[in-house]
Amino acid sequence: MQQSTYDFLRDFLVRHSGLALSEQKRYLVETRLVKIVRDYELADINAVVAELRKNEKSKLAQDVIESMTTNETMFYRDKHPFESLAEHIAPEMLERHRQLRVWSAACSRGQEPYTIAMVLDKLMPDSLRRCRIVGTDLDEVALRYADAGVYTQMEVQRGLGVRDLVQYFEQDNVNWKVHNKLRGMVKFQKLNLIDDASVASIRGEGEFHVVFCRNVLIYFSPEERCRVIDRISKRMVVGGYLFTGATEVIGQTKSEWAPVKKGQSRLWQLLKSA
Amino acid sequence: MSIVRKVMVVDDARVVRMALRGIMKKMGWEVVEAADGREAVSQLEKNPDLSLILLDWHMPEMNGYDFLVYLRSKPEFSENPKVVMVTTEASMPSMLQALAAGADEYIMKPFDADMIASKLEQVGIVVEAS
Ligand SMILES: C[S@@+](CC[C@H](N)C(=O)[O-])C[C@H]1O[C@@H](n2cnc3c(N)ncnc32)[C@H](O)[C@@H]1O
Repeated sequence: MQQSTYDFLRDFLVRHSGLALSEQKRYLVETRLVKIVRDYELADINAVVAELRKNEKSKLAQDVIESMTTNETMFYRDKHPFESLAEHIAPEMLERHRQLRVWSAACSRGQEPYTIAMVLDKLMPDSLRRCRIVGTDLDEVALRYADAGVYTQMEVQRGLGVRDLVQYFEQDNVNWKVHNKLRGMVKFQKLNLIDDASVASIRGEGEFHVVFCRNVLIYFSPEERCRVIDRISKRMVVGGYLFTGATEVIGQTKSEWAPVKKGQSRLWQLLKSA
Repeated sequence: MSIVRKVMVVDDARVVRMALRGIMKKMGWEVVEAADGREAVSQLEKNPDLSLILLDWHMPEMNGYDFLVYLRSKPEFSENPKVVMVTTEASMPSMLQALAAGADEYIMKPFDADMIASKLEQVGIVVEAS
């Protein structure tokens, strides 16, 4: 791949998904584009980029973006955020609000929002009525997977205990399907965190009390990270909580946050939105 | 400093016992083996200090389920050692049956080291990075 081709791709990815690639990631990009070359029966990577230059909103463009995303996730990832939600955050919020609204802001294949749903369901008998969970992602393929709620044997054995499996899943041939009750608690929507209009369009039934935005900020530049946090803050209630990934800290944002510790989890409480 | 804990691996397939032995040793465990439920009974007598059993279901002589029922019928073993089923038996009714008989966790084969570690955490065993 020529330098100019790589430069165009880097720029394209930053503008459409926020993914900030270093000069050294060239090889990785080439590897991942091989699949697009094959799927679209194109001659080579240069042909892919020629198509991209013609139309940045095409199906091919979406496929290029999705080929670069890392969808790695699992049920109860890191465990402690969900303990903190169960033991501290949810009880505190439910005391003050009749309905609890939670947003999983880069939900990948859905393990995170369904984990939230299981945690909340165990806390109250009327979870279906009192909780609204929205799972969003940029990746349409991952979102369709999440919405279907059907997981492989491998996926349901990473992070998930057998008691949750028998309580919240049913067998679907060799796979495992999330119960309708949980599926009723979670709604999925395509949303791009680096796009103001897209974030503003999120369907909820009001501002969110809790947001999980984990293991996605790392892919953005430091400036974009701050803008994403600011966009999210506008969709939250003041006093609401934000979970980020273990290494993801909030920097120089317009929105104001207080670092708090609840149980084993360090998270952020919104003081003033952007 | 870490305390060495002892696990019994029960499976009639030698390759499976070897794979599990390898994974558990890497995590710092002492491993004893049994090729069926009857061998497991005698190993249990020799090793009452087991803290974990990884238990296959289908085996000749005495199967894993029958061994589990036997184990939990002994007052001294009613809660410990923890039992994780490791089996090709991948159906909801089997899981419910094993849980009702006193299993603590359940692994559907095939497994890998991450899955074992994840399931050990589920039964409250802290896994040390190797
Ligand atoms: C590693 S997964 C994290 C999943 C889950 N939050 C977790 O912690 O396990 C990262 C996800 O972020 C999504 N993503 C990347 N850029 C995004 C953007 N600009 N807007 C929304 N989602 C994005 C990817 O599609 C991917 O599914």
